[in-house]
Amino acid sequence: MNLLRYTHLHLSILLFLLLGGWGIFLYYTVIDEVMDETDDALANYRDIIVGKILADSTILHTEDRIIHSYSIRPLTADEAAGYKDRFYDGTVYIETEDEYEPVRIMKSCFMAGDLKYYELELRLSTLERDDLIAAILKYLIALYIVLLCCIFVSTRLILKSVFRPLDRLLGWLENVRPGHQAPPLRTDTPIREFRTLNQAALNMYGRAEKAYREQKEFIENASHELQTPLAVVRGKLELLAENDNLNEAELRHIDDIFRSLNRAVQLNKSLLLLSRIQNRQFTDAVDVDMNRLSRQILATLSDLYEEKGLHYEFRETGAFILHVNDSLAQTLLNNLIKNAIVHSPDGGRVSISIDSRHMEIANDGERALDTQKMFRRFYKGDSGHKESTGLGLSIVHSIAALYNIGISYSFDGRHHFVLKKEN
Amino acid sequence: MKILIVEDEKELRDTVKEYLMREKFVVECAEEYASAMEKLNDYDYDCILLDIMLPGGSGLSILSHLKKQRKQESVIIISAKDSIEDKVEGLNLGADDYLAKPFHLAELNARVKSLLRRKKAGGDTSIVLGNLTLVPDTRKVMINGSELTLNRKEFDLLYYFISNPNRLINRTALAESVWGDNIDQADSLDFIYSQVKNLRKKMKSAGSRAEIKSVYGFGYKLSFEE
Repeated sequence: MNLLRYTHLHLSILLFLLLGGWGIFLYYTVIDEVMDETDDALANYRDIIVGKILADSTILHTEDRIIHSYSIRPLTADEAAGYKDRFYDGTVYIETEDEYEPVRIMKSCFMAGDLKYYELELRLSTLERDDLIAAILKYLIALYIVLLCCIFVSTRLILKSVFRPLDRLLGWLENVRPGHQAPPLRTDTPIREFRTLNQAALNMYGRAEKAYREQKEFIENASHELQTPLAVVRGKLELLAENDNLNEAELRHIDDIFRSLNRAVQLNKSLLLLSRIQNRQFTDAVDVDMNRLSRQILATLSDLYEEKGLHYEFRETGAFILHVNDSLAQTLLNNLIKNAIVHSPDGGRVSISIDSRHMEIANDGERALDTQKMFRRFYKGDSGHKESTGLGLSIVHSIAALYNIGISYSFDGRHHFVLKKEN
Repeated sequence: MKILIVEDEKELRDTVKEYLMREKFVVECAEEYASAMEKLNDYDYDCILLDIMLPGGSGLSILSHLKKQRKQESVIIISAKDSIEDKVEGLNLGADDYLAKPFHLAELNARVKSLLRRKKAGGDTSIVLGNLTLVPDTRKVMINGSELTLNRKEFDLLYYFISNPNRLINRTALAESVWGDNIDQADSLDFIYSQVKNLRKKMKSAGSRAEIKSVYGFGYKLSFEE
């Protein structure tokens, strides 16, 4: 439920109840007033009749059944002692129309000129009063509905315009990514809180952008600072190796330095790659045909597995297409396939099977990797491969995480890595 | 052939210079933006090795200046940045090649020569070494006029060797160039040995005067006597 609908619903429910309560209260107040009016009229009427009776006792024995009907009945002293005037609603039968009409009845006790008690029953037709009440009720309900509708519509419009800056801000926030040009954000709103919020969002973005840029610069600088001395050492070694006076043992030392240096170079490159992946500096995702890529990598690595006398199986039952950065896809597969080859015992078996949603790379191995640690940086298992940087699987994991590709590992005498296309 | 190295790191500059001078190139150096611009305005070069991050300005602005002047120099960017975007940016600005630090000097040498061949020969980029001719564009190798059939890796190896004749090449440089990055994390580089052995055998039986020699415990050298 969005903010607009939530606020609107709550306001509407509240107004529905409040206005309803107010309407009911109004209705009963008006009814009460109208009733009072009738009762007052009856009381006035009684005063007039009693006054007339006191002046002319013959009226005691008359009745009026035309407009305001009344009747008089004598009371015993006992009845009169505890008598209280009463008002109540009743009906009278009208012969001419053959139906009952609603009336308001007042019963009152008075002492006539003969010192006897009489009960005067006065009846006042309430037909008009009921019409009035019906009319009041009708208009009240109509007013209630119209009012509610007006309020419903106008609050919605007002809320919508109030929340528009917020909607704009949210849309903006969704489109903002560090390292990318932020879309313009309109900050002209009369509402101070939203202005503050917009400003805060812009400031936050500025800081994120700055941090991102600084980190990127740091990575680049670190790269520059390290790569240059590495390049110098490598170049000097190449020059040194060309010295004709070197003997075999000296050349061997240089070769050892070369290989160690290479490891440092690879480590540095891998660390930079990891940072770049985790900083999401790889954009440009394209559809990559993983089947074709696997075949390419296998062809490149053929010397590696031939050298180790490995057997490999390659099964495809579907095209596994991932929407990823091309060079990262290559790194991902290269690391997994090369791992499988390098960590297989001589004469072992490497199998790759691909369907449209999965890709499994399996190889022989002695014992399972530690699933808790295998994707951490510098995890090397117990393979004792001295040339390994311990970053390969960490890079694989980062790439998979970046593109939301599922990666799982299992061991059943062979290592199985499964890439799974999510969504 | 005249080459200008624009690089602020003295050690690297000197190393590259020495390596290229052994190839009989005339090499000049500039260590920062202003002197590089000065040299480029005053002289003509065949090839420029250009670092991106320089004191006093960016190598990329030197590059765009060159392109505005319609100078004919080939430009190889040598940069510590090796992200795809940086490469694309450099190449879009008109660089001919891009080499990320730390590179192997043999690799740099091969790239420089490839560019110079492309420029000078007016389309004919073939390399001739005695009775051996290698055509990079068609990936063909001829010895005494008859074609030598090589697989992809044998060709790449020979291309690398022939770009660095009579120079000692370390196995890791070969592995990286032919098999790609990361390959040297493999336990042994013995797999290079069998490919080189095959290549050597093929060249020998075809009667090539150039010969690949093993330098035990280190690498190989394509030796050729005029």
